[in-house]
Amino acid sequence: MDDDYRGNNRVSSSGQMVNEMDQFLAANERRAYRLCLLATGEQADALDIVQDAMLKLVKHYARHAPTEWPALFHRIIQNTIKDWYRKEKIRRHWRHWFSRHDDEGEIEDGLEQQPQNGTHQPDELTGQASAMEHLDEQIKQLPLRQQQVFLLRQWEGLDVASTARAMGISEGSVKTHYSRAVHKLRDTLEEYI
Amino acid sequence: MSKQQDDKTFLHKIDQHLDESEQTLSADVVSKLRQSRQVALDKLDNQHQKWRTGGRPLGALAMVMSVFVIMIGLKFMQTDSIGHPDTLNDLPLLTATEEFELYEELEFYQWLEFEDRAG
Repeated sequence: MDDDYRGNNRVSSSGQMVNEMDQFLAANERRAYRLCLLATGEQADALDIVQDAMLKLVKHYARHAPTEWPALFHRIIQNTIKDWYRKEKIRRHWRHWFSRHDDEGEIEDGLEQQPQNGTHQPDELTGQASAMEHLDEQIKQLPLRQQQVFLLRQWEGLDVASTARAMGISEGSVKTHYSRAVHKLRDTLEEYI
Repeated sequence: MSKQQDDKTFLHKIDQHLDESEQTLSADVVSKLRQSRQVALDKLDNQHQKWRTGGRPLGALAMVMSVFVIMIGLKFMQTDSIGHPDTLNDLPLLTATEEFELYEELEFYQWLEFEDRAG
């Protein structure tokens, strides 16, 4: 038997570690994909982020105890989403610059701003049959930080401290973002849900 | 219904929706996620092999180095015991900043004193 895990005095063989990692990723990959899809609005980008996060977890943290993997995986996903968002912002900036459509609107600045991936306006959505589709769109329309705080707190069930650690922000910010997200969703979705 | 209860119901419905959406991903997405996972697991397996096989040469190298250090140490100890049996007494000489000639003269005076006693 090899001493494969740091901390928690875990001992495991290679096969056992691979099996445990397989189980962990299998149990979390769909949820991670949904989080990323809501953040990016693009299937390919969401899949890329999930794959990157899996590789980073395996490369840097596989030898940590499996009990630490969920928090680490959340943190990696949030960082990768942030990286994606910054790159996307730069790409958008250059696209605007080259197409000389600067007058169509200012580039959104900062993670507090509403993402531009949602192409539907609330009015267009009233015609859609499914309230659930409407809900998805409204979550996508939330500013990135509000959206991710809401998903981590509400859907993933993380507490304030764990959400703050995963996102690299203060607990106060988590509370503020969560409260704003809930209010926005309530305002826009009350009649649908 | 109170506002708090209202909020709870509202948020519960959102949870339900998100849970459903997780379970109804397209076959294409599920397959791609599985592929990504497999890539990560293959990497983990390779990584683990490297940790294991990489550990052996390192262990051997550490052992060779230890033997080398011990041999060098023994060699020095041997030289020390033959050439300078009274190392502690030589310490002031070794650490002194005075000119070496002074000590040569000192040896001469010590010899002279010994000769006087003997004579």
